[in-house]
Amino acid sequence: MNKGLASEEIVSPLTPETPRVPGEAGVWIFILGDMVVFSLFFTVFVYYRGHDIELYLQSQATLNQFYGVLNTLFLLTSSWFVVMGVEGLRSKAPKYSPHFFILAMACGIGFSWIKIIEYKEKVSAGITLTTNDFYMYYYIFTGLHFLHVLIGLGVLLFLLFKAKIIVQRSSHKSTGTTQKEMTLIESGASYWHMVDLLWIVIFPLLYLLK
Amino acid sequence: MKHLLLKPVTAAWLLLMLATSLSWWVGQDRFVSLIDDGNHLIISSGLVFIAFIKVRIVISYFMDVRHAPLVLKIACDSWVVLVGGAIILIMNGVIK
Amino acid sequence: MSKKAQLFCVWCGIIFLVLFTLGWWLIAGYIPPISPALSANEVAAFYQQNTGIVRFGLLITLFSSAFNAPWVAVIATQLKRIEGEFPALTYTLLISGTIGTIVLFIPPMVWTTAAFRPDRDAELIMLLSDFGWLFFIMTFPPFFIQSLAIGLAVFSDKSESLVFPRWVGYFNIWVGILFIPGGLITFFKTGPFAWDGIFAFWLPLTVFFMWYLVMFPVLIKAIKQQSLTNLPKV
Repeated sequence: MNKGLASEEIVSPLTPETPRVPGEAGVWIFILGDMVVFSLFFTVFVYYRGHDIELYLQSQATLNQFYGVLNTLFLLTSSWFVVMGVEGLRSKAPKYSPHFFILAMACGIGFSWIKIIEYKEKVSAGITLTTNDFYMYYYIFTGLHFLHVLIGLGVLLFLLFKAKIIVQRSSHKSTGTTQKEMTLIESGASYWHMVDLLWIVIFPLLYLLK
Repeated sequence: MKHLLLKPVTAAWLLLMLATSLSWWVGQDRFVSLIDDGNHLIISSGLVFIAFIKVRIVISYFMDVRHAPLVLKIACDSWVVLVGGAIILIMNGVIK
Repeated sequence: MSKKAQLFCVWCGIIFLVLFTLGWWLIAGYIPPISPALSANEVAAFYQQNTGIVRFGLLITLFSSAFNAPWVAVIATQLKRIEGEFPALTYTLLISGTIGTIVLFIPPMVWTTAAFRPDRDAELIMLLSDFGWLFFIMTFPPFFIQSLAIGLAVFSDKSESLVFPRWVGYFNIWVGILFIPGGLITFFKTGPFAWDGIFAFWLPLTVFFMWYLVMFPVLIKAIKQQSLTNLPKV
C-alpha cells in the first residue's frame, strides 16, 4: 500500500525511492502461505522420487514435454500481459489495459485447453492418479495448480472489468485510477504471478528431470 | 504504448521465455542420451537451479517485489533459496 | 454484558483444543494415525491392547467436540457485526460450523463402538476403524466453507473501524483451501495422500490447530473493541 495516499487519491507513476507492498499486505499472507504449501509438495516429490528413480523416469517418458513447455510459455506471457495492463492503469495510460487483460486471459485459456487435452490423452490411455506414485503426484500437483489457474481466470476477469470501468471513467473525467482500486488490482495481479511462478517449478520437476 | 513496452520487465519476460526454451531443449531425451550417466544429476540440478532463477525474476520484476519493503524481499528470497536449495540437496542425496 | 458471554465462548475454542489434544492424541493414542494399509488383525490389536485407555481417551475427545459449538457461535456473532441486517455469510458459518462440530463428534463414537467389544471379528473392527478415520479426515467440506465464509465476510467489511483486520480474511481462505487434500484419502492406502500421509493428515491437522490459535487473539481483540466502536447495527 502506498502509505502516503488516501484511498480515493489518484495514483501516479512510481518513483523507485518509495518502497511499497504490491497490492494489499494481507494478500501476501495468502500468496506466501500457498507458496510454502507447494514447496512442501515439491520437496516431498523429489524425496520419494529419489527412492524410485526408474519408475519415475519411465512414467515421465509418457508425458508430452511439448505440452509442458507450451504451457510454461503461455503463463509467462500472460503474466507479462498482466504487468502491462497494471502498469497502464498506474501510469495514466489505461487505454490498452483492458486489451492486455484479455490477452492474459487468452493465454490462461490456452493453458487450460492444453491441460485438458493432456488429461484426456492420459485418461484414455488408462493412466489415472492411482496408476503409480509418479502419476499420483502428476495429477494432484497439476490438478491443484489447474484449480489455481481457473480461479486465476476469474481474477483476471475481475481485473478486466475494473480496467474497463477506469477507462470509461477516464474518457469522461480525465481522472486516473484511485489508490484503492490500484491496491485491489495489484493484489489480483500478484495472485496470477504466483500461479505462473508455481508452474515454473512444477514443469521441470514433472516433465524434465533426468 | 511504446513507453509501456520498453521497460526492464519486458526484457525480463524475453529472458524467461529464452530460459524456458533452453530448459526444454536440454530436457529433451535425445540430448541427454549423448551424455553418460554421471551427468544426469548435474543436468537435473541445473534445470532446478534455472527454474528458481526464473521464479526469482518473476517475483522481482512481474510481482514488482524489487520495489517492495525489505521484509517482503527477504521473505520471497528466503523461499527461493530454501526451497530451491532443499530440492537440489534432496536430489543429490545430501538431505535424508 | 454480552462481552463476558462472548469471551467465554472464545475460551471454549481453547478448551476444545486442549481436551481434544489430551483425549485423542495423548490418551487414546490416535496420533500418529494407524496406517490404512494395516491388516484387520493389526487394526484390531490397537483396540485390544489398550482398550481401557482408548475408551477413556475417546470419551474425552467426544466431550471436547461440544466446546466447538460456542466457539463457532462467537465467530458468528462477530461476523454479524460486519453483515448487519442480512447476515448470509454469518448463517453460512453457523451452518457449516454446526456440521463441523458433528464431524468432530461422530468419529469418536464410531471408534468407541470398535473399542466396545474388542473381541469381535477383526474385519468388523477394521470396518469401524475405517469408518471413523474416513469420516474424520475426508469431511473437509464444512470446514472449507466455514473458513471461506469468514474470509468473504472479512473482505466485505466496509466500516471505518474493521471488526477483523483484512489479513484474517486471507488467512481463512488459505486455511480453507488446505483442508481440501483430505478428500484424496479415498484413493490411497499409502503415501502422502493417505489418511496417515503428510498432505492429507499432518498438513490439515497443523492448519486446523493454527486456525484456532490465530483466531483466538483476533476474536478477543474484536470483542474488546466492540464497545469502543458501538455503531448501531441491526
